[in-house]
Amino acid sequence: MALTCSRPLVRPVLLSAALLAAALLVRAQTPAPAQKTTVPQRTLEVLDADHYLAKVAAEHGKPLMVTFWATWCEPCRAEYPMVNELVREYQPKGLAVFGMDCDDDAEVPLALHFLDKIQPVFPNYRKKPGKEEEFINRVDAKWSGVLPATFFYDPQGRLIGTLTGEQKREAFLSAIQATLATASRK
Amino acid sequence: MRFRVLSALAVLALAAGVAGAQRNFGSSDVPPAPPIGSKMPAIKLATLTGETTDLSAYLNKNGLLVIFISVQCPVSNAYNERMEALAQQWRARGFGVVGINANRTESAEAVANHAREHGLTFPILKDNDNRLADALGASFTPETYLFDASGTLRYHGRIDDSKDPSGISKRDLNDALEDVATGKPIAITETKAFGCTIKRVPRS
Repeated sequence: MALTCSRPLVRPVLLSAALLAAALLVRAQTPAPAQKTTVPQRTLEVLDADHYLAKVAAEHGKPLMVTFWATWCEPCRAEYPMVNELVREYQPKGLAVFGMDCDDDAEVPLALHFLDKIQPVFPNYRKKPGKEEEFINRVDAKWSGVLPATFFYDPQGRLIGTLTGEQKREAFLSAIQATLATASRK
Repeated sequence: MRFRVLSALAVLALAAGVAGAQRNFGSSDVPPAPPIGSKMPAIKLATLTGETTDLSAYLNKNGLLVIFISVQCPVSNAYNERMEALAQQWRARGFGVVGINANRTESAEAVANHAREHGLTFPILKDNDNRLADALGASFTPETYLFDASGTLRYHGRIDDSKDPSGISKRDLNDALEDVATGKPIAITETKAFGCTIKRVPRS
């Protein structure tokens, strides 16, 4: 009697269970979409050369991209949104990123306004004003100081490549992919 | 035993080479700067009124100061007064001073207007095809090159160590000019600073 009464429910229950299982399986196999985790900044932490290198060292274990910019650098401002979009795509794939603003103290409000407008998905710090040459040489002795400049590090913290001056999206894409590839090497 | 030692050294050398390898993913086609002691390149340039001239025409009895400048670069503009002051001071002491605009985005007319507006009295030339910028490995503005009376490169780099005049602690270019003028060796021949990239003509 009970079986006769439950038979009409079995098929929809089984169907629902199957659909639920399928949904869970699809969700497990689908990578999570990139989180729009913007980093609201009201201040810019100031880094001298020692602290910059410490920030780089703190990312050991991950391939890293560091992009140097300034509000007075028109190509920097032009490329920053494109760089941000690439970071949004490649950060979930293991790329660590931070930005280094090279503005002086008087330009900090401009820098914060710029960041507020762009809403970057990676943290930004500011180079401590002064001692430019020392800072430039400690980042990369081959760097002339030209901006924009982006530096790429492997998971062991070794500087493996640079992009300086105006660069197209393809150049950044190629550099990011080459940097990510270092993560798979022993 | 010798084979093992040589093999170990080869492996170490290879590892060091791989570890030290740093790729230039892109540098906007900027050639390396010539070393200190190089001769001034013989490059034709354009005056702001369109005549062709040679860089050597500006070499004076004590030497020539070349400064890559920009109309729009805020860093270059932060140095306008200092560049003019240096030009006046060192022209009086027998140096030629010439500004070079190598930005494809800045016309001769714009450069001339900018010079007038900011009181720049030293001659400014257009490096339209970036031949001089390439010959000197110039990558940003302002960037300076000091040649002595024989046309030998004696100093390359920044004007001083601070975009903000109130923060200057080293006047590298002025020190170099003084040393060349008085026949002394220059203590610091090459320096670096942040600057705006020179907007070069695209390479085909």
